[in-house]
Amino acid sequence: MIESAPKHDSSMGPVTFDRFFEERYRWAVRGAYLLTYSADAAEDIAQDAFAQMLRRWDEIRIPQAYLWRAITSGARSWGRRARRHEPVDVPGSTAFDSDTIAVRDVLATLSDAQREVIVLRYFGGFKEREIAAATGRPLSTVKSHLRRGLATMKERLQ
Amino acid sequence: MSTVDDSIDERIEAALAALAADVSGTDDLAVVRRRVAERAAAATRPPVGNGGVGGGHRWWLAAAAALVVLAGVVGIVRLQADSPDDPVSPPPTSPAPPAPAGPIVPEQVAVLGPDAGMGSPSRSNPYMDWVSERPEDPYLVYTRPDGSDTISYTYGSDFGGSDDAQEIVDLGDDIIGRRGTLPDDAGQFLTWSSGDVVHMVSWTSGVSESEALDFVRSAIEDPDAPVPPDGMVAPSYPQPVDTALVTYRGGDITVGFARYRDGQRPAADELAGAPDDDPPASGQVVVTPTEFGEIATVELGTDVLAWVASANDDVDAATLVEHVELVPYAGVPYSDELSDHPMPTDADVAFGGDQPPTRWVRATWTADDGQRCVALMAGMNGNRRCGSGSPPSCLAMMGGTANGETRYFVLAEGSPTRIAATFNDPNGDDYYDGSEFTPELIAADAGYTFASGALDDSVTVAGVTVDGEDCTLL
Repeated sequence: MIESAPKHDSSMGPVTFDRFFEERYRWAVRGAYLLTYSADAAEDIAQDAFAQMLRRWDEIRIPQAYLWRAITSGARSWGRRARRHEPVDVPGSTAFDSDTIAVRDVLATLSDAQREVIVLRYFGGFKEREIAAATGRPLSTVKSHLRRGLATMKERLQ
Repeated sequence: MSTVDDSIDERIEAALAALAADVSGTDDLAVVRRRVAERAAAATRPPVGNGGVGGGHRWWLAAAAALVVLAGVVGIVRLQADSPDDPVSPPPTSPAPPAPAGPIVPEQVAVLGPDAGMGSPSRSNPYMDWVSERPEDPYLVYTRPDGSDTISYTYGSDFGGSDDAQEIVDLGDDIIGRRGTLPDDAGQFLTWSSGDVVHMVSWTSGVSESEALDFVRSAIEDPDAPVPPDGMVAPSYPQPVDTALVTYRGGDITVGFARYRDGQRPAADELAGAPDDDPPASGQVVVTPTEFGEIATVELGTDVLAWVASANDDVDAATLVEHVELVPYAGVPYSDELSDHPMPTDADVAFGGDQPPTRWVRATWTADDGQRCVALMAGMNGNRRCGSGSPPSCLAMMGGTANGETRYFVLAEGSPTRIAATFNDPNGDDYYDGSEFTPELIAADAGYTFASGALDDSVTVAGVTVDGEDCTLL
């Protein structure tokens, strides 16, 4: 587990694993949470993702993309086991405004693939091509999921 | 972009930020960092056997071994629990659940096409994890006519095998390969990367170095059509008309069904590695122990071959076969989401296409009013698609869920103007999630034209032209 040469992160420049971890861990947990709506699963998925990255740091070219791919893959695996994506109001959690709750609830009704691309787009700030890379899906499929997911959200949020 | 769109964008962005802000994980990052290191260390698998081969290597060795064992017949291998973790399909974080004691409950369903057997460049590897999580990874294998040697090629997102490669090989064009030796002098492998894609060729010991490297170079030039060594061919076993795979409980056990037209299924003795006993009579079980678990095969009826692969030492594959009949042939449990549309009893599904990237799916069935229905869909280049429908009364479906997602299939509504398609292209991850699309919408994607016509008195079909290429499906 020896850390080696820094990698280049699009927003952080050259980065070592430790710095990448420090900068991205909470972000990864949050992203995983938006895909699972489970805080416990999110942390587990994020830690697994970073563990994979640590093992392969030498081979990873684009850490941020690798991280998201591991996160989305972990969320899918978790989803298959848990079979639920319903929002759970955790006691003590922030009281969300009605619009946030509405978005959350509609998002929960989307397919996993649609939710993934929307989270990556609006939380991760990814462009469509980056989403395609992060999810392993063809670009046109990403566009299709995004279009359909947004259409559903627009319809239900209006 | 309209104001409404802007507003939606902003609302989603703000809501996601608010939701995400509610979760941040463990406060002490140093603690988490230690956990990450521990997980990474735990995931580093010990050598397997005497060959000093790491778990990542074992992953694809099992795959290669399975191909040899099943010799071109659809076969399944549940990848070992210590399969390499990779960003596409990390291993489960929890132990696999215990083996089934009672009736088996399908957990995953995947359906392969008529080229599901070995030797076709796509979907030829019916390994469950590839089916369920890595459908984009093709697999090729070529064999000398006498079956003495094989050379195989695959590429995908990641393979663990490269960790075990020792020798660096300059493959030209600034491509560096990593070469390693299979355990027990079984042969060699070579991996290389292009972008984020990892490629791998493995060959048995009777394949010469020049043959192997020529094959590698041809794969570099054209990953979709590498040139095999002279005389080596893809096995030409009978191909199943269609194939269904079902895994149970955490993926420990897999059951597959292949239906062959007119009984043209592979003979039992074509199952390399099978006992030398007489071929199984219908219903007779043949169990073949392998390094990755047991494979049991049983013929059901005249044209269905079922097989079971178990990677769980606690599970007797022959016993599992007893459960085979619990699963309908189509292998597609009804989807909760689609339960209003029970599967027609005469439904038939076919998959095809010359080669990737062109693939098509066709479903036919009889609607409640007696009309014969056809629904067609196609994917081109992995990301284009077209489709056609049937009479309005053909609002029907066949389908099921896998992994919590609608995995398989279709229905049509109103022809040819509306198609509600819920399917997962067996050749990839191109699917529609129960959405509807119209010719107009397709056309809006650019390059599409749509036409329809009558196939007979009751069925209307449609064809689509994609960027000038004919995509008519019947």
